[in-house]
Amino acid sequence: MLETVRNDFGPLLSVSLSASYPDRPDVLQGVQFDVQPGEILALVGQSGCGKSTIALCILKLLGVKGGKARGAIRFQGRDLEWATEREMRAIRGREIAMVPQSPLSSLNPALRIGAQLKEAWRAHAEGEWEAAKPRILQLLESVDLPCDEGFLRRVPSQISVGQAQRVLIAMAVIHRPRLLIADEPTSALDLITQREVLDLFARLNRELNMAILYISHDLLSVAALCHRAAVLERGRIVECGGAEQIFERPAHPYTRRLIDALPRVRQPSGIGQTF
Amino acid sequence: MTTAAKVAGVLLLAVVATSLAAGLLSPVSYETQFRESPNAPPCRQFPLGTDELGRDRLARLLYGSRVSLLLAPAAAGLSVALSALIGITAGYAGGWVERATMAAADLFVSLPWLFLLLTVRALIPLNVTPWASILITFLLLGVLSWAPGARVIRSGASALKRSEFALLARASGCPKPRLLWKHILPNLRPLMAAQFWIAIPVFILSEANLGMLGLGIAEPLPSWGGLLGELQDPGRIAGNPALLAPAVLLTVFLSCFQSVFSKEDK
Repeated sequence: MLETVRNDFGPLLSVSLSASYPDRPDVLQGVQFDVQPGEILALVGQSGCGKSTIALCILKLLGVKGGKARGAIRFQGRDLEWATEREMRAIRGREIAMVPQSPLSSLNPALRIGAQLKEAWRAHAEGEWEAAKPRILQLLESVDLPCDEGFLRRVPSQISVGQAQRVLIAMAVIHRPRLLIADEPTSALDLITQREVLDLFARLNRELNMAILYISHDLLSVAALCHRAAVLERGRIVECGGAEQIFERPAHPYTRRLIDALPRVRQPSGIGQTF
Repeated sequence: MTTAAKVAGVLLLAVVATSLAAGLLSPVSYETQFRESPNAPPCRQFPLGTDELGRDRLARLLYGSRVSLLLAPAAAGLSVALSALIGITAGYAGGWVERATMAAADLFVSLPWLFLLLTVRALIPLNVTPWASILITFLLLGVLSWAPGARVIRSGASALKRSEFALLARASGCPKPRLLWKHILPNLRPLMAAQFWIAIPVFILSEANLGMLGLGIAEPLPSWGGLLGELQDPGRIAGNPALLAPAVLLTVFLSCFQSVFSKEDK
């Protein structure tokens, strides 16, 4: 069972960012938003609008992709801009964790599932893995994964995409971070698995009071999960507000276009109805 | 595995086992001289005859196979270790380190391998003990062949560094040395293994070339290269076809090796 604990005051994360890649200047232009403790904030926009760049900027890993970021990121009142690599390493995975977009390619093909979990655990924990194992098995059970030794011995090619995504979620919450960045976590999943993963995020948010920055182009999943949403267009936030307000009364034309683009069920009369 | 590859595998194992058991199979040492019968033709006592110093050619072939078959994998291991060290450092560091290392690798690859090997060996004194000559050959083969493997491994390391799972490991707080050890290195193992198996036949042939020219393993220690040196006088072959035994064994071994490992790759 996952444990509930933390409550804080003030924004957990405040972001004011611009970023660029050598071949894509101004990929983010003065993006500003806050994430409150225990809140699920959605970052919505089309592919290539800079959503995933924000995730990398927050973790100060944009350099891995060759990009550069300018601006301020405050996490729990602390400016991450001046944090050293050593300090960031202590934050990554323990305070801010990430669930990536592609489940199977985000797991090391050469390592067994147990070894991958062990690596995630070991990054911020001391002591014997064997002693921590019962808690890890409990964690697997809480994310609806088989909690037996046989599963831990499998390699990524022997599990399904849905299971891989759950393993990644388990790895992300292993140290009970304050903020979980979920970067398009359902885009590779079928509809039923998507729903299960969304339910899992909602449960983690409820039971661990874990704030979630939910990055997605899937408006339906945003509507089902998030408290607030920020709409991103070509590196700028064009609208930000309560999820209900965004969907019922979109103020910006781009937001209206996104909502109008949702698939509709064709009725016998020929009039479409949005899901 | 096809029947031909299975037969090749059995032959390979037989050659390796025979060379390792040289001490048991040969009643005499590779350096024992039978001065009363130099240049003896094949007979019951000496199935492959004797050389001009009266040493049993069969004993020298068995012990020589052992030297060649141990030297080549050892040098291949050194070469792969060096290639991995240089390739991973370049691929992982990126930037000018990567560019400078790959420029050096390109230069090395562009030099003719055998010419480079002979030139460097010629710069080192030849009047050394047999064991020193083994060490020199081992180091020459291992050190001078770093470039092709380093290029391949650099490319793999660079791709792995940018992989999704490496990014996730960084995002999970994994320290860089551990990222290298637990995430990059295990995924480079197949590439390194391929480099190892490719290098073995190349090094066996290189040692044979050095030995034929008198630049390889020093006398009285035998090796395939040294034994092939006797073939430099074609007139003697007609008189004693048993002189061809090292060449036949080398050809059979390399053919079997290629047959087994190229089939494995497929």
